[in-house]
Amino acid sequence: MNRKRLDFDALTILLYFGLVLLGWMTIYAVTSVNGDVWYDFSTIHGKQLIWIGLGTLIGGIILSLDHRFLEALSYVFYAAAIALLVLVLVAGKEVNGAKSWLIIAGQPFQPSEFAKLATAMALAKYMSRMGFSMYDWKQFVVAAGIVLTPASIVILQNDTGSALVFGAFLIVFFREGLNPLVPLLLIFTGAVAIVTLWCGEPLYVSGGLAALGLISYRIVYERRSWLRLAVIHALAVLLFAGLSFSVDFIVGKLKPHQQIRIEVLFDPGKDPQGAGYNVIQSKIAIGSGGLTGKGYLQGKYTKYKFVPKQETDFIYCTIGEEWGWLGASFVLLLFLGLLGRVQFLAENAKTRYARIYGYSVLSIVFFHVLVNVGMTIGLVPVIGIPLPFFSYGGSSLLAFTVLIFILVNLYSYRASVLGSKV
Amino acid sequence: MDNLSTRRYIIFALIALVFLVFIGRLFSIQVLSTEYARKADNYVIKTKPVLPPRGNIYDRENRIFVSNEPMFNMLITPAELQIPDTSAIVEILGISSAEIRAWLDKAPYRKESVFARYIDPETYGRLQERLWNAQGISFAASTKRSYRYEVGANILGYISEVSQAEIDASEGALIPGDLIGKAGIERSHDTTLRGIQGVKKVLKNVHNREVGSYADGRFDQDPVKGKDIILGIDTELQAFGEELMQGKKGSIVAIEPHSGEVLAFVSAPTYNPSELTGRDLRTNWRRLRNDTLNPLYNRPLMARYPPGSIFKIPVALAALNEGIITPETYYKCGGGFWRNRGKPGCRMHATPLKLETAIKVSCNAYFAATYMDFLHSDHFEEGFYQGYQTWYDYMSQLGVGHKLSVDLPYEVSGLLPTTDRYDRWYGHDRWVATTVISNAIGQGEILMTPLQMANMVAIVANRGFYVPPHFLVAERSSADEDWTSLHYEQVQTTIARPHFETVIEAMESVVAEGTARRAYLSKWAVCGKTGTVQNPHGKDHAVFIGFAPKERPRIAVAVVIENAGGGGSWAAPTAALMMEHYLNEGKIEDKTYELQRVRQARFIPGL
Repeated sequence: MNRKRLDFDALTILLYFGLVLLGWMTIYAVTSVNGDVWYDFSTIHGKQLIWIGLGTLIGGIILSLDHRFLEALSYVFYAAAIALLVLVLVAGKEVNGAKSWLIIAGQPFQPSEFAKLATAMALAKYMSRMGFSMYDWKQFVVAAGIVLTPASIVILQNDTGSALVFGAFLIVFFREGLNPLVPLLLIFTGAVAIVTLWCGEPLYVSGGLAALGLISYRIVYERRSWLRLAVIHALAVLLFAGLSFSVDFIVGKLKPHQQIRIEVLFDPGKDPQGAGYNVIQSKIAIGSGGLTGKGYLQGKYTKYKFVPKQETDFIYCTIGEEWGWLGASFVLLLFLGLLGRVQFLAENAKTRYARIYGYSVLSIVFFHVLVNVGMTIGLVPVIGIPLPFFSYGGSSLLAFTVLIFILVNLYSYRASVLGSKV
Repeated sequence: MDNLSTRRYIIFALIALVFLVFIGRLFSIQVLSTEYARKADNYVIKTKPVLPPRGNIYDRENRIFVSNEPMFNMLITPAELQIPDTSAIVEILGISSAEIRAWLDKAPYRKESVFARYIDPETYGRLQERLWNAQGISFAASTKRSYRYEVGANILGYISEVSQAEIDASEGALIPGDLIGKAGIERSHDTTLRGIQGVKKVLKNVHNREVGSYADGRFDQDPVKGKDIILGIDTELQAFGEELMQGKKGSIVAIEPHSGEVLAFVSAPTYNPSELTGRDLRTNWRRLRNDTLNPLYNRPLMARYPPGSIFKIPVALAALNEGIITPETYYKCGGGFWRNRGKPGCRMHATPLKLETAIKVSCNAYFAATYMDFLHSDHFEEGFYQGYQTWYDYMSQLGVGHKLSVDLPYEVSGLLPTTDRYDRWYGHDRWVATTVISNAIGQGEILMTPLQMANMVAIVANRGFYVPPHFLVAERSSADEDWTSLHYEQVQTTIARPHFETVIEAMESVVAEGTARRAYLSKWAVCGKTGTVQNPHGKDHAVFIGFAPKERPRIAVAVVIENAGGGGSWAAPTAALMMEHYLNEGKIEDKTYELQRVRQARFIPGL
């Protein structure tokens, strides 16, 4: 073993435990009833305590492992994850319309949480091999396949939310040399779709696109290839205008509950008892917190279950209500700190595997925070994915714990690699 | 690779941008906007009205007249309703399954609303036993009016749930489910009796279930109990009057002359006030409403009759005061008013006769002559119109044809035609005393309510003044406090006292040896005047006004019995019974024969 003893990144571990502790306190605030003791394991907060203990144990085990062992097992994990996902398709339990749960030893278990982890490892393994290049067609397709295979199975499970998380790997690809045009076009596509839905009139959007095309042409105008450039711009404008006109058609192809979730994003009053209900209620809960919040355990609005799924998907409401803007922002800054630190670890780890894996962790955690917090404040459609370290649930907490601790493990070898070089 | 590693900054910048947008968004909904905080309060804090107990009503002897009986309301939240044993409701409350379903279809789904009212404590206990494992059902304490004497329904009125129109008109003072007075004293003194609603703030969860008090009750307001009141009514006398009027249509009004307090206010036929309480209120009200005898009609206040011969008293007073006649003025009778071709007709009285005799024998011709001489008197320089107007003013002073503003709703004014009114009927200068000569004997256009008749005789008893008749005598905020008496202003007439003495002497002889001998009491000097009101639709109405004792009168009574014939045979003894009952502390020792006679008399056809 070529590493100094216990040379783990303390800041990451500190941030991890900080978030987990705040998460547990919030779950306690939501689920405890007067007279509950905090260690009563029949309660939800008591169970979460068991999960936290188990996570700490598993984290410790991971730190004690050799990084080469983990790397070597990447494909095995991946294969196991795919097998489990298929098993869920066959023998899974349906919850809220998604067939994504297995019952193992009486405990519900969600393999898609571990599929993200396994995918991150497999992707890191594949992309860090000698001679891998993003510009090699075949290798790129294999790398994309590693991500898309579990994503497609999860879609088949009817768990669109979890499937969307795999889209976050785009960040990894971008970091590893993907043509920036690809994410740029995707972002632009999304922007056109949102603007069309928001203003509701594709004709105006097309007009705006045409103007944008003209301006961008003037900016990148080159005398020698002006014709080719003009054709490209014209085609791009036509393409996006076409998209703008077909947004309604595409939304129409979505499932009804997905359509309404998109619609309520632009007009929450549209379905106040149905899909709009969660958004309205969660905004009220957060909004009622004010600057400094109502105080810990004083969040009447969330306490009395006005917001559905209070301890899982909408747990951020309680933070907003009880701790106010200061507390809610503080939690966000903790996440930003963790993400920054994860990126730092990824960039400074001395193996390509560690970097790619680190960026995968970054992408997954970021996407979860983006979607989860975004939906509670009405900026993102309601998609049922948990807030890392906060939402109640064993699968989610353990998956994120393993995700983080593997990175910490990988990073701890930088000294030895450096040392061998010198 | 150098090129690629700069992408880390782009990635972090994008992530940081997202977090910045989130923090900004949070700032806007948490700090800048107050809308969300307000909405959260609206959802979480439920403001519950706390109903104060309604004030009790006492009678003049401090006997409890109306009080509250504890009851329970059953409330249901349809969204949470789970009743393993529906038959309990069907059996115990007598509400059919179909009715329950119909109610559930109409009731707001997520809100608690009143399913059944006025469940008595015993039934409540049985329900509790059977519904112990039901969900979505709760009970709330309530009260029902309780009547110790079960009399005076026409005075007391009743309470029932407010209508939407009343809520809209109350400017926030009333909410759905409140009980308010709909008639009688309960209506006219509603705000006094109702008290002030309190407020309790409670926390509720998403299922609208209460989970505790808000801020330890710091923002709660206790309800203010409704005031207790004392009415001038003597419940024993009222009960006695209602008993006498069994099987008859009509009114008895008794007033304490010097105070204007109404002692009894009988309307017949009437109903038991308990019928308009509790769960059967609506059914009973509909039945009473459709009753052809119209028991809901408050006759002493709303029925208008030509006064008949009792009207000779005010005519005499006006003429004496105006100097038209003196006690020694004689007129000719001869079986009719000879100056108007024998109209109105009269009995063949010993002629000529003076005022006292005329009142005693109720001579029509005498008062027709008096009335004509009054209207056409020479001392009215502006002539006949001034004469009529002067007479009109006298009658108005005596309360004829004007509302007395008694503290009961729906009082009517009767009728005392103005000169304008006659002008409209006959044309200006196209009517004279003989045109309206029937007014002299109370058979013309004049219409009076029994209350006005009683008030008029109270003025006579008082020798010239009256206190507007009223029910409310005193009130208090709580049982620990002393009663606060209410003060009512005396109203003085312009008629001089000696004229009253003249008339009273005559009224005494009416009872002693005239038309009202059946009203005679051996222990007290009764003064009175009978009236027999011609009724074009059937048998005449019997009328009597009187007071006793002659000196320091304690009770003035007006009695109207429809279709009973002569005032002397039925109205006079009824009034005398009321007087004896009141003056003799509830005992009838003198008029025992009349008591049997009046009790047994029936004047409603087919009863």
